Formats: sequence, C-alpha cells, structure tokens
Amino acid sequence: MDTIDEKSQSGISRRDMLRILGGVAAANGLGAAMWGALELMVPAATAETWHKSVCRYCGTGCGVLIGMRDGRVTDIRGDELAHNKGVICIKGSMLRELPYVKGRLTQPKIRRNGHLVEATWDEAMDLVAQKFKEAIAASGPDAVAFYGSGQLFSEESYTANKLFKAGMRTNNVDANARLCMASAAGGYTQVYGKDEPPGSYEDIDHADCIFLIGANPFECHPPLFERVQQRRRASKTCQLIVVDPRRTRTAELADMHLAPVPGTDLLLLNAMAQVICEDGLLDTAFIEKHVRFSDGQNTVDLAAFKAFLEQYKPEAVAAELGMAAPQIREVAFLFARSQATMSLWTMGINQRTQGVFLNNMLNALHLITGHIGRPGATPFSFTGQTNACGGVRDTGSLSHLLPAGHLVANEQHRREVEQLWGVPPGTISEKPGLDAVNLFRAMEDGRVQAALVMCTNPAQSLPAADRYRAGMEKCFLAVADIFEDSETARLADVVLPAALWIEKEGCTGQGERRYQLTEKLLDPPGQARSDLHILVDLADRLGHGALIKARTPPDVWDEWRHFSASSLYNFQGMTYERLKQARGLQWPCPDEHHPGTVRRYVEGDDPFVTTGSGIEFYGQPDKKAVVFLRPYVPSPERTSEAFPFYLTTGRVLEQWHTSTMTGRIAELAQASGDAEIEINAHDAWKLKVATGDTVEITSRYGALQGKARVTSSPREGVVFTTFHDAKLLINRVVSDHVDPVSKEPEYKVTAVSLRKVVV
Amino acid sequence: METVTLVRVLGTVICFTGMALCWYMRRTRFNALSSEKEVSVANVRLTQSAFWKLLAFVGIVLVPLAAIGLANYHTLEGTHKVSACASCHIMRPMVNDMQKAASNTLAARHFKNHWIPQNQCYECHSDYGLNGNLQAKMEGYRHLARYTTRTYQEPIKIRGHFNNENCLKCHQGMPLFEAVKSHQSVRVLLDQSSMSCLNCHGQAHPSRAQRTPGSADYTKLMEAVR
Amino acid sequence: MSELRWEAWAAILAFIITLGYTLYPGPYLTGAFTFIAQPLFALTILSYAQKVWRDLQSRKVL
Repeated sequence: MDTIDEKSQSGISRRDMLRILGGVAAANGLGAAMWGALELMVPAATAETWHKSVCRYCGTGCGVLIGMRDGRVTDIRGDELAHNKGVICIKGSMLRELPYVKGRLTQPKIRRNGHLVEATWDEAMDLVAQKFKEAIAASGPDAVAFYGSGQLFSEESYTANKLFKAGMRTNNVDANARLCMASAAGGYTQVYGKDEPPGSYEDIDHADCIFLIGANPFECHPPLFERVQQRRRASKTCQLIVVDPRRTRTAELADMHLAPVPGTDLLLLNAMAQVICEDGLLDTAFIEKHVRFSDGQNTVDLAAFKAFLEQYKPEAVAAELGMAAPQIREVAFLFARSQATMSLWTMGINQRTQGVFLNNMLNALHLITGHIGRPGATPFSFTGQTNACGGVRDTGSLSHLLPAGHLVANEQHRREVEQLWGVPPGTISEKPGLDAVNLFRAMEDGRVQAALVMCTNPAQSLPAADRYRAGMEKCFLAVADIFEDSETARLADVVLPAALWIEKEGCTGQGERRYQLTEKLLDPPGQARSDLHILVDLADRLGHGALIKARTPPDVWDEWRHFSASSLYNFQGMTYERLKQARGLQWPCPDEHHPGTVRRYVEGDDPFVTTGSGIEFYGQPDKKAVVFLRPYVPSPERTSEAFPFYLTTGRVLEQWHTSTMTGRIAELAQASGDAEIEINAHDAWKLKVATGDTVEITSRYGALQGKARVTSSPREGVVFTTFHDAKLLINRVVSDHVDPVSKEPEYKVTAVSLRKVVV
Repeated sequence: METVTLVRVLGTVICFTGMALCWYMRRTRFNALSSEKEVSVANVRLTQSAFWKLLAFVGIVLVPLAAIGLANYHTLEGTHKVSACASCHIMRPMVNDMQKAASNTLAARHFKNHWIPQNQCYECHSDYGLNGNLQAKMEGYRHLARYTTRTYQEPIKIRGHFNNENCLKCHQGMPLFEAVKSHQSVRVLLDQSSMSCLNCHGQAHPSRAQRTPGSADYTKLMEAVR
Repeated sequence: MSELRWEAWAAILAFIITLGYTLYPGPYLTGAFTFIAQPLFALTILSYAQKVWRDLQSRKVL
C-alpha cells in the first residue's frame, strides 16, 4: 500500500521547511493585513475632535466635552476628568443644539416708532453713549446704571464694574445674582467675614447626614443630586433629610421629608439649635475655640444664645411650622450626631425676607456642632447660575461691593481699590448704588434714565414684574442679548447682538469656588460680539478708554487675578495656561504651583490658615466665626381670608431660567411642557378644580390665568409653578418684598387666591 | 451537555481528525497514485487515486473549514462569560470594579443588585456576540490584535461610541424609564446612539483617570480578578 | 498535483493552534488562531485549490 512510488521521502527537507516557514510568514502577513483592515474600519464616531469646556447653564458648573466635526458641534459628553465625573443633565446634553438655535440676533437694532430697526454698531453704540452722556450731564452719574448677570464671564463683569464705578463713578452696578445669591453672600460674609462656601462638592462623597433645605437638586442641580445618590448607595449609614413645602422629586427619594409652611423655616432651624443646646449635643470645645456669639449688634455668650433659643422649643413652634415636634427633635439629633453633616440649600432659603438670617442660622448649626472643616462636614450653599460666584460676588459687581470682598461703604476699601485700579483717591463714590429691585424702581420714578442690561431677562425674572415694566419702558434701555424677543428685549431701546457661550472666551466660577475656562470654539453669528467687546467699545465712546487698559479676555483675567492677590480671594496662581490644562482650580490659589484649595479655613489645604491652628476663620478679626441670634419674623406675605394660599415658584429640570435658550431647543421644550399651576389634591377638591382646568391666581400684585395640575406635591395650602414660561409670567403675581440686608426678593412666599375660571 | 463542553469535545475531535489526515497524506505523491488499485473503506470501494484525493480534500478543505467555523463560534459564544473578558489583564479594572460591592459605577450596581444575573459583561456589550452588528465584531477582533501585540496605550479608550441599544434593550418600555419626560423627548437621539445614556447616568466603569498607571486607584484596580 | 507537503504541515500547525485555542481560549491563543491559524488555513486551501485547478486543467477536465 505504501510503496515508495506513492510516497515521497519521509522527513522534511530544507526546501519543505522553507516552504512551511514561507507559508507561516505569508499567513502572518495575511493576519497583519486583516489587522490593518480592521484598524481602518473605524466605527462611526459622533465627533472628530473633542474640546474641554464648561456647561452654559447652572451653578453646578459641569465640565463638558464638546465634540466637533467640520467646525460644527455634533455631540456633548460629560467630562469624566472634571469634578462632575462625566455626569451632566439633559440640558447639558442638548448643548449641542445651543449654538444653532433659530432667531439669533445678528445685527444691532434701534427702536424707532415702536419697531426695532437694523443699525450698524457705530449707530447703535453712538446712541447708547449719547444717552448715557445726556443722563449723566442732566442728573449726575447715578442717573445711569448697569444691570449685569451671573451668566456673563468674569472678565466681562469685572470690566463693567470698573467702567461704571471707577469710570462713570456710579455704584449703580447690580446683577441678576442679587435675585438668587445675595442672601447667601450676605450670610457667609456676616459669619466668616468672607463670602463663598468653605467646602466643596467632594464633601458630598463623605457626608453621613445630608440636610437639604430649600433646594430641589433632582431638578435644579441634577449632577450634584446624582452625587448625593452615589454617596447614599455607597454608604450604609448616610441619611438624606429634605425640608421643602413640596414633595419634590428630591423629597420623594429622601429618608426623611419635612414640609414646613412657606416662610416659617427659621423656626425649624432655631428649634433644631434649641434641641442641640438642651440635649447637650453642642461641641463645646469647638465653640470655645472658634465661635463668637452675637445678637447682631453686640457680642454675647453661649448662655445668652441658649436663653434666646428657649422660645423656639419644638413644641412651641411645631404648629406654626406645620410639623410635628418629635420630627424636629429627630432631625436635630440626626444633624448633630452624624459622623459628618453637610447642609445643602439654595433658593428656598435665599429668596426670602429672612434670607440672610436663614443663611446665618444654617452656618450656625454647623458651628455649634463642630460639623465644619472636615470631609463631609460643611454648610454648602448651592449656586444658581454659571458665574454668580466668580463673576458677580467675587468681582464685587453688586451695588454695595467692590472686587475681592471690598465694600463701597468702607473708605479704606475704596482707597485700596482705587490704588489697584490706578485711579485718583475719591474716584469711587462713597454711596452704595441701587440694588436690583430698587434700581428698577428708580427707573420708574426717573432717577435712573439710562441703563445697560446684559445677559439677563429682568422683565420676566423680577418679582411683581408688572411694576417694573413701566419703569423699563420709560428708561433708555440698551440690552445686550442673543435674541430680540425676550421679555426684556421687547422693552429695549437698543438691542445689541451678543456672542453666546463658546462663541467667546472667558472664565466662570461655579459653586465650589472653582474657576474654569471656556475657550472660544465658534464664531458668533452675523455681527454679534462678545459682551466684553461691547463694554470696551462703550468705555471708549464715553471717554473712559484709558481706564480700560485690559481689552481682551486674557488681559482682563490677568489684571483681575493680580488684583485678587491683595485679598483673601487670592487666585493669582490661576493663569489661563493652567486653566487650559486643568479641569478648573479652586481658590484660594495664591501662586502658580498651588493646587487650589478644597476646604477653606482648614490648615494644610487653605494657604491663609496660620500654621498650627488647625481650623482658622481668618476672615474675621478675632479669627472666630460668628453665630448670630436671629429672631424669626414672619413673612409680610401672610395668608388671609382674601389670599388663603401660599404661592411658591421654582424650576423644572429641562428648562433654564426664563427659557430664552432652552425653550428653543425642541427636545427640552417637549420634555418640560408649558408652565402649569400645581395645586394640592385636597385643595383642588375643595376648589372643584381638575387637571387641565383654567384657574386664576391673584395676589396683591397681579393676577394671571393658567392651567391647573392637581398633584400631591405641594403641601396643603401651597401652590407652585415655574417661572420659565413667558406665557405664564408668574412673576407678575409674586411679591417683591426683599430681605432688608441682602435686598434679595422673596420669590418663595406670596399670599394668593385661586379661583377656577369657567371658560 | 453544556455548549462549552460540546464545543471543546467537537473541536478536539475535529482537530485531531484533521491532524491525522494531514499527517497521513503529507508524503503522498498524488501523481503516482494508481487509478486501478482499489482501497476498501467500509462498504465503499474507491480507487487509490480517488481515495487519497478525497482524503486530501477532506483534510485540507473540509476539516479546516469545520475547525474555523467551530472556533469562530467558540469565540463569539465563549466571550459571553465574564471570565473570558477577565482573561485579558487590561480588563481587570472593569471586572474588579464590577464585582466590588462598594463601587457605584453602573457595572457594579447592575452586578450587586442582581439586575443582570449572569454574563454581565456580555449583556451590556452584546455587540460582540452573534446578535450584535458586524462593526462591533470587527472592533472585537481589532482589540484582540492590539492586545496580543501589546500595541495599546493605557488607559484604554473606546473608539467610536457605545451603542445605546445595549441599555435600551432592557430599559426601554419599563415604567421607570418611560416615566422620565426627557427620555421621551430625546427618544430619537437615544435610539441612534447620538446621545449617550451615560451623560446623565454616570460612569459605567472606572474612569480613565483611575485606570492610568500611577494613579491612586490603579494598583487596586489591576489586582488579579478573583 | 504532485504533493501537498507543505500544505499538510501548515495545516497541522494550524490545527495545533486551533486545538490549543479550543481547549484554552485565552487572549493569546485566540489571537494566534484568528491571525495566524486562520490565514494559514486560508493559504493552504488556496494553494491546494490552485494545485487542483492546474491538475484538472492539465488533464483537460477544465
């Protein structure tokens, strides 16, 4: 069978070996070719290049990655290297549409005979300058004003502040941040001597008890709420306590939800303090070392504090709060005895006639229990806007402030600022200017005749809105915005087309003292310009060109950061180069090698803390934080027979503020829908109102009709709606009482009546 | 009998058969084979020439094709198991993190809550298997080439984007998912994987920063998988 | 065709790799199978096919 003829020689000859090796080599070659083909079959990606940036919307200040292809934004991802660890919300995800929303203002326009007519930049700016000059000539510098925004870049707010206060010499510089963060700023400054939260978002990762009051982060700071949820998933002991008159999406997920009657929660905070004192839950060692008590005028002692709190026993206040006394005791105990307690709050606390006092008391609870200056233990006020902290509070772009914590009313502060700005002593007026509400009232009575409004929509966002519309119509209003049909632009005499988000370059400072850089990636449409460009142009036309030496974002930033070096808001170490590399840096950051400060007032972290002191509240002369004795004063908006309900307003996840931007993005508009008036089911039953019915809501300030939605969310006696929808301009109904210290309006408490409208 | 065992057994049989056939014909001079002499196999009588040529066909073409087919099936189905993914050390951070109860990544949460009882990697990365699309499989082979030749860089980064269908196939239609208004309004974007679910729902796996050699978490994450 | 010598050896090599892969499907054997054994099989089949083609041509079958 196996003859020699049929089989060749056994063994492998050299030629055979070569053939085999050749075959293997060829196979490898083929394999490599296969690999090469696979490499070339790149799966379709959503973008070609990715760019680090910052979200345009809220004060969380999420880092985002902008995906671009052929010069267009094609995708947005959360930046996993930024503090938000890649998490953003639906508004952030839809940023891809933002640069392309329809109806952008591309050319300056001047109102003639009631209509906006296209004009050149020269024509428009000449008119604005002329009106400003006329007003100043007729009635002095305080006849003009600047109303800015927590959404302008820091470079822009800083420049406006300088131009108006040192150039035109009026302190009528205020911003929409007055409407959201002024109470927090006031509260922190009174307690620590300096503004801004001492802690960081990172504290959420270590908190054992999260006390969340007057905030709905599920909808309003979603990535931060996700971080809270991550903490709760990771920790077996972490508790979430939510205090809110509404059973919001946040409250639904809480371990404990307390629903106070609107306007009464200072009773809760004082009652908690009372329980902490009575039950011996105080951290007396900490108090001894770091706390001074004050009744607002004089220093008092701990005994006086305890005596003051006696009237706030839980049993005494429970009825007015609308809660049960045992609940109050339980919350106080949980707050005090957890390993690390973090308070989170925002508009529910700030937008109140007792906003500053509430802020004082929240800080106080941390100071008397020693829950501060450790991971997870800190009083943290969430910020509403992209740049309310960095751009408005820190640059001092409010009517009573100067940059970096200086005060208009303080002569020495004025001298320091004049020196840093290179202007003669006495340039800055000693009179604090008009805060937001008073500013628009002054328009009404003619004291302010010309104003520049940038990047905000006061006609929709001011409380008792109807009252101020008349004033805005009367005053010469130059409005820089991206649309001409916002409620405010409709009242403008001149509209100036502004650049949006990544169409310009600049820095923003979000809620945890983190400054981040937004780089320019697109050109603004048509003739739109950055707000900085507009301000520099105005300065030139008003003859203050020499004052504004820094004219580009990098130059302004350098001037501002060197300015800050003279203060405790020192961020001199944050050059543009560093900010281009880093995912933001937290100040204080005094030099270019400093990594930034996670926890302020803590030794080793904060460069200003004296070595050996551990925790030091260096913002106060005696290095002690102040715990105030703050009496509860009910809101002027008490319910009555005529106005038996409390109206509180707020936000919805998918819309930002007055929805001028987000309202034009289809996916967001569809998700949020129009604003509706949320009525408690029991109240609705008594009123015979069903979902979809038209109701009329009336207050002492105005009346509106809107669609009702019956829900279990607001507590009985409370109605709620959002302010995003111009078709239900709820601010026309909201009262404009303000906090006497912060001048922030009380959006959260208005006495109203409800009536079903039979159509 | 489990598929895996069947594949193993069949594979072994096929390979040994093939090897045997090839071994026996390695020195055959086909030209010199007789067309007259006959060979008897069972009841079939074949000429010597026909017999060896048939053997050659089977041994060089049919059995290899069977081996290729089976082995590729083995690849596509065998990769279902977590242990298959874990066999590449570069995957250790993902697998270790997934199995860690304290972790909050999406992978870890799905694992610890038993939302995906088995074959966890595959359930979310089902593109690699027989059901997924061709592109994902090509990606899989590309990963193999890169890994075995060590031509990758740490931390590894996904090329292209993740197919949302992997999330939607379980979550779509569920009450909690459908109740979210944003999901409804961006339905089209999600279906096309034009917007990533991870934007709102966070990391699926340890971040690139954590998987960068030298970072604080790197050593822990790279420990051998249990 | 005269011999299928190198094809047989190449196929045997490919079978060994495939067997190893079937029993121990780790990354390196998977890679070896996909990028070495598979092309090797492909080449042997092609080479075999070429020889059969020539053979049939020479005998005027095709």
